[in-house]
Amino acid sequence: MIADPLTVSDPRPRWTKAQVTDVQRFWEVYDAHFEEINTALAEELSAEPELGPLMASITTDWMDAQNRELLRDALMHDRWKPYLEALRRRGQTYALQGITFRQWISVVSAFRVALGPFVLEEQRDDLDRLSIARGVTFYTDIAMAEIGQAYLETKERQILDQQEAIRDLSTPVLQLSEELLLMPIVGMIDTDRARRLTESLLEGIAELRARVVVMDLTGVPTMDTAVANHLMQTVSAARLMGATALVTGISAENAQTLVRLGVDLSQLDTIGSLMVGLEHAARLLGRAREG
Amino acid sequence: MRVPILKQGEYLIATVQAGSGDGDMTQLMHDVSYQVGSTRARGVVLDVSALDVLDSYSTRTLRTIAHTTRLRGATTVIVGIQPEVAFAMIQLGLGLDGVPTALDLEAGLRVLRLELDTRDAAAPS
Amino acid sequence: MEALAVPIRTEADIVSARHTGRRMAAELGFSNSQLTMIATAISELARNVMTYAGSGEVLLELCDNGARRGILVIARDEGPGIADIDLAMQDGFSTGRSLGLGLPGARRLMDEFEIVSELGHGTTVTARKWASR
Repeated sequence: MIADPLTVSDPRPRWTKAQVTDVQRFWEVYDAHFEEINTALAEELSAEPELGPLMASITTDWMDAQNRELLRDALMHDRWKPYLEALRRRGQTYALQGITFRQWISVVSAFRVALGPFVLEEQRDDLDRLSIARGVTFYTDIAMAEIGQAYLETKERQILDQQEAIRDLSTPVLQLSEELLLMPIVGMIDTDRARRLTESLLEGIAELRARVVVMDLTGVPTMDTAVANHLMQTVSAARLMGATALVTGISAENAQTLVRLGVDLSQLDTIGSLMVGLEHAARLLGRAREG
Repeated sequence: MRVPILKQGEYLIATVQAGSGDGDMTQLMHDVSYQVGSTRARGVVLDVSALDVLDSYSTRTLRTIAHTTRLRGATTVIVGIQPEVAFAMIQLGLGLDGVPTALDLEAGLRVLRLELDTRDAAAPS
Repeated sequence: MEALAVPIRTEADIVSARHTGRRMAAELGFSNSQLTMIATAISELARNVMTYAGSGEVLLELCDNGARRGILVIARDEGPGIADIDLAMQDGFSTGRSLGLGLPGARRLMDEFEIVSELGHGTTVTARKWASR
């Protein structure tokens, strides 16, 4: 099961006291120079040629006042959930906007670079500066982990959705005329795909008010008994909806499978080629219209 | 939930309501049989589009209605079996065994018209 | 996980069991076809309980096997039991004849199917269907 990209898994980072001190020192610097740092960040990013116009949306959400308060609550008051959720939303948005992994990671790098001069500027000793540097790292690690996780999970969902779309494309139901549907079946069929085929066909009959459907198996190299059964079931189900299903393009091998199955061939209107099948279909429809 | 039966010319049209149970179907069987007799209807359209499940009992009852009406000189067409209901019926191993079916009321009336015209044409004058 | 027990005694209970089953399964993202299959299987199993045992119950519960979520249906009764389970489960499908209990059909509608029965003690049918995502 794919996780929900917006659900935060770990509610708070497990930091030692020393780490918390480091991060809070970093926050002091960031908070004190918030606008300047973000301006520097924007400049840094605009210098990157490959980042493009999408970067505008990324930079603004790092800079807004609400984000600042959420981060303050997290770093200084140990209230992490809202901030982590905001990071997750950001990750999801980047994935949905098609921003690449490299692009949003480069924002994080640019942030560190932008922060640099302001850390040096501070009247602090080297130990303090090291502490702040560590703090920046701890913070950006958390941010990257949450954004990255949500980004990844969103991408995974996108891939699954695309696979679903491809599966739908591979079971097309074509309307040839007012009451005639053609379902050309191509490739290997497994039980799952067979079920989809049947569902598509039956829904097609209902939606398009078809009275004859032609299932063409020319593109199906082999069938096993499960699939053959499914085929028979589809023919029977179509009949329950008042439609006649013709099966065309059965290869010699597939014919043998059907015979071996003990399929009642009188139940199956099989016609050699697709062309002959379509002619037969037209006759069936014409005859019915004469009433 | 008594199924209302409408008369349209030589035909009877009965629309089964959603959530009908066994008792309703049995009642329908009696009502249709009676009405065919009393109105001399020649065709019956049974609309089951509101049914979300057709199990073994309902399917058997539909078949019985069709056979009973035929014995009384009328043809019954079952219309409106939904795609997913048809699929489930077949998986369950149920069929309507030669009882005419059609997509909806309009298609069902057309089927009846066609059959009755054929029968009339074939009848000895 | 929410579990519901539907007592089965009358035909109205059969309708109730399948509506409840459909409603519960709908939360799991099943397609319409699959929901109808679940409802139909419940209807058949509940009908068996009523017809052969007079009374019993249908238990419905959402389940999880780690990778997927699904619906669990248990139909049980303390009726006469089935003498020959193998015979009852024989698939008369290809000949178009069902041997009365509709069990092979119910099995086809669900993903997992198990039946335990003892003469004189009753029957329990356990079935599960898994949602694809």
